[in-house]
Amino acid sequence: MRNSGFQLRVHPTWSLVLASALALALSAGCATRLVPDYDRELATGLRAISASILGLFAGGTGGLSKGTYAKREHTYSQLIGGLQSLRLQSESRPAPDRRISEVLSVPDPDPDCDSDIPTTCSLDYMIGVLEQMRLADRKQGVSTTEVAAFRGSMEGYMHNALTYENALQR
Amino acid sequence: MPLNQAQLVSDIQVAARGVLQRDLAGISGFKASGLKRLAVQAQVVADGIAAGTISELNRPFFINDLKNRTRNFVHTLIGLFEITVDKLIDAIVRVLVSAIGAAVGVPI
Repeated sequence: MRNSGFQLRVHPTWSLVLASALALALSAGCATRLVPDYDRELATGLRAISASILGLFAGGTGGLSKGTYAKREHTYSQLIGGLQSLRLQSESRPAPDRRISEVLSVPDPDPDCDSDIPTTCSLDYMIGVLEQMRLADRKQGVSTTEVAAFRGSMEGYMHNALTYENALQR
Repeated sequence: MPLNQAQLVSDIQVAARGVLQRDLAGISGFKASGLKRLAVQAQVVADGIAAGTISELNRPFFINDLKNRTRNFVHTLIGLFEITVDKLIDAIVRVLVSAIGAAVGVPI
């Protein structure tokens, strides 16, 4: 039989991944899951809180003064609470089966995070970023550069979380 | 009825190719944009430290955050690969089950 070309483009690592995954799936009666289930409510929640977070940053493009912190205190609390709620929702899904990573000897990419689900870790880090920003805002204010850096960080984590959750949708 | 093995292999290849072509393009795009975001963030932090516009309070946080960002990026990248493998399994098993159903004359 003529080779269709598909096999030629498959990297040897992919062949191993595919063979291992198929073996796992067949041995487990197709019940093996490598990934958590898609959660529409979580994805919607991520998009909604992303807009709210961007709203906070939009109001601070020229920096944030310590003197006006009180006006933002409630916003920080609301956003951190919202992120914590989404984190709980993300982590409450059944954990993915990590045996494929074990077969391939893939090291834990994020030993500081105690979850196997990337979105949960992204949310953990987003909470940390907002808590640090709130601390700085309350103590001394936040410079224009710092606002840009906090925003860049939050957008990066949110980009990771949204990409992963969108990919879960079949 | 015996299975047509050549047809089965061809059907599996078509199913797998569909998943891989779609998903690997998306992963490649995510990788490129993620790396660019990391580079931009490193530049913002470096410039801020050099100019003194990032305070002592925030400096260690932003440096540590670059490490966290990198790890979360790689974790997400691995997660996307796992989703692709999961989709591959689903696609191939669907073809196999359908072929067996056709061979025995009973939908499975």
